[in-house]
Amino acid sequence: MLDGRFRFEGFVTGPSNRLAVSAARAVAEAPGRVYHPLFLYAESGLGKTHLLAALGFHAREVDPTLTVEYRTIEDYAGQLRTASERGDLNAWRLQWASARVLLLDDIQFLEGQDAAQAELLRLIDQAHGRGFQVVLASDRPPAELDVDQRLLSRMSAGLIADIAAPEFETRLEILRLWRATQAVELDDAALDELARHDVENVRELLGVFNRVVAQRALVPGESAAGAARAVVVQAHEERLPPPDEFESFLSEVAAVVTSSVEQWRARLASTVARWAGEGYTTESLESLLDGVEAPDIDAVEARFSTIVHQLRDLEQEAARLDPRLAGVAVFRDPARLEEARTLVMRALAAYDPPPPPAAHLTISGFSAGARNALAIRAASEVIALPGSRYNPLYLHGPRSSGKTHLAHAIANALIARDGAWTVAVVDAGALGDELIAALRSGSLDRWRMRYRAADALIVDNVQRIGGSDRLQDEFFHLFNVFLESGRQVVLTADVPPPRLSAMAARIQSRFEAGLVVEIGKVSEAEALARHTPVPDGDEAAAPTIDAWFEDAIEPDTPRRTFMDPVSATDSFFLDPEKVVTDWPGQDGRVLEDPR
Amino acid sequence: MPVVNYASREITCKIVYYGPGRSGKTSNLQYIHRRVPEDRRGEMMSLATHGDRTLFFDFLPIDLGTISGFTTRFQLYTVPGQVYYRSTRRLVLQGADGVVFVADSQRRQMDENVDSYRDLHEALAEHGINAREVPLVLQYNKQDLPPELVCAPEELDRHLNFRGVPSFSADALVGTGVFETLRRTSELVLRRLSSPATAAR
Repeated sequence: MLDGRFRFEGFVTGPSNRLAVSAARAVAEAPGRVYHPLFLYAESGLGKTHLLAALGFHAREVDPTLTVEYRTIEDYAGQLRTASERGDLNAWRLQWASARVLLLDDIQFLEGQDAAQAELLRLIDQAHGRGFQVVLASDRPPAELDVDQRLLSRMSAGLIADIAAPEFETRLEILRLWRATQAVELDDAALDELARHDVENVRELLGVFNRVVAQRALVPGESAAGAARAVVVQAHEERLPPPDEFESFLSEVAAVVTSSVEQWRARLASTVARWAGEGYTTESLESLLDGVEAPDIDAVEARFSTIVHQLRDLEQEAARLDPRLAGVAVFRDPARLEEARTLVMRALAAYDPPPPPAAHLTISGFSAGARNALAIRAASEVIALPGSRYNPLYLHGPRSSGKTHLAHAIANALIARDGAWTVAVVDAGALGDELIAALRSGSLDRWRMRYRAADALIVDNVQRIGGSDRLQDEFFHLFNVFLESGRQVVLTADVPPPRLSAMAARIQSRFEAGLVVEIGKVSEAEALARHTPVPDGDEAAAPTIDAWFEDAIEPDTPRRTFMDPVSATDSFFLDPEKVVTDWPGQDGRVLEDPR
Repeated sequence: MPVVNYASREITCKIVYYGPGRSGKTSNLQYIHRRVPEDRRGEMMSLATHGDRTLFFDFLPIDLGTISGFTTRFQLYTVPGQVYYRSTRRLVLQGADGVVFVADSQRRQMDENVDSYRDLHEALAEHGINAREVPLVLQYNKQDLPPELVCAPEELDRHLNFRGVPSFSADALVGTGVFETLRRTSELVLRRLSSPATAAR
């Protein structure tokens, strides 16, 4: 049966279907005379059925006497089977043969139906002979149908017209037609948006049209164009499985990033992240990221790693000495390595100080004389200006000449001068024994820091480091640390530097760069005096051998003590604010007679 | 310039979609928003009028995840295309690492395209950005419209693409050419990462 809704007036013509529509009109107006048969094909939903029906109605409008038959192939084949089973095939054939216009839809379903194909072949030939019209519609062209070759040639003998998916203008016109026929309010902008939806068939277009109409009814205030756009986008996404564009995009971006990020920066950044993650300050590494040229990353990483390990050792040592020092910020900043060392050295000085001087070997107990006058003068200046005047002070002399006493006396004087000072006084032989013990126990760093923590270093019998390369190396570095930091070093030896046996030249030369002072051999008189019982009573008032000796040294000068400010050249002792040697303007003053 | 934070191992790129009103800038971002998995995208912020035009700007943050050890983020913006939002356009363009100029392919919109493209160059100059150096990609949107209504890409190239930058045909509504445009822009932006001036700490 023909669907009465389908007329040419309701079929929007456009480039996609113009040939098919023109042919259908021509056939309707002159059936059997223009195209025989007319074969229409199109995908589903593009208007084949509509066009067949429109053709049929129009043909009857042109000639109301015409007999028009519309059937789908399924109906046709079904009727054929029924007629065949009933045995009235001829009657059925006559019925079809009488139709002036025969419209057969869904021809593609002929495939596999041999009897129906044979009957159709006969019918087409018969209609052609009588000048009747046959119009066929299929979802594919004849060449793609798997049917009898003779039937195929008949199908192709007339006009084959296809109906393509409607293009924009046709879609827009269809939408306008629907808007008019359904009397809905949709502005042109909304129809434009809908028409942009590249549909595969008209039903799909009708679907989005209906959706927008419904959406507008639900949300009246919404922009029609906006709603149309949203519906179209949704329909588009429903129609096509979304390609994984993002993943594709991501993989390409990843490739670009990988090739664009400078590898040395990435590696350095990785190192930064690693150490920063462990809590270390990484400013020094981060500053390299600002550079234009790539640094030697291996060297940078090795250097930073070494410093970090040193900081870890220092922190461990500090925590051993005082648990409160664990986690102190200075141990997490490679730029503050020296600060960390100083902190540990101070801790060592406080908790494990280097050997101190013998308390009884003081200045007051040291006997001065001509043989040691220069040494005493040098010692006094060292005590007055430690580290800045004679550094190192190298005292040499024979055994029992008082070198050790003077060295300890200097140390005690320095401590007396500043109670906070730590003065390391050690015999070179003991220093060597300690070094060996430290090497064996793996505590070399601690040994080093223990001495380096001191404010002054005094090494007695320094000739004893000769012969041991390792001890000389360690001593050399220790010595340099003190000199470079302006801390005083006092050395004693039995011979002057050039005569130190098995001593590295670099050490000898450094000794010579300071002040080398000889302390002479103790005379018999002095030795005797040392053993003279201390007089008491009246005897105490008598001149002693020491007094004679000292007078002999400087007969024209008044007797002075070891710390006599006049004998000291240090400006401190000459400062009139500190020491008054001349009393100006005594006139008018009342002086009390001390007696 | 794209910010490469080597210390925190982050790359952040700001890409601005520029163009005349209704050319399809927001449609580009909307399509990208739909295509990006939820866990990779932020909320798309869009301030629009009832007339469905961008009033201020759209903003779409995208987290591309960790690439070569760098947390990589894209920030996509659109500018309001209407002529009177000039100052807003300047503001949004500030700090842009790359620009997508979305042209409306409709023939009747050609003057608007040219005006907007000129406006883009003025805005770049005001920000001290050398238009010859900034990564710029042209997108000829609405190429799905009938041929008689739209200019062909070659014609649009003649009118707009005097710099010879990459150009793409698109139908942003359904996504045609959207990711191609973003991909090329991203590539141009990221290629600049090797410049030491992009490094930041």
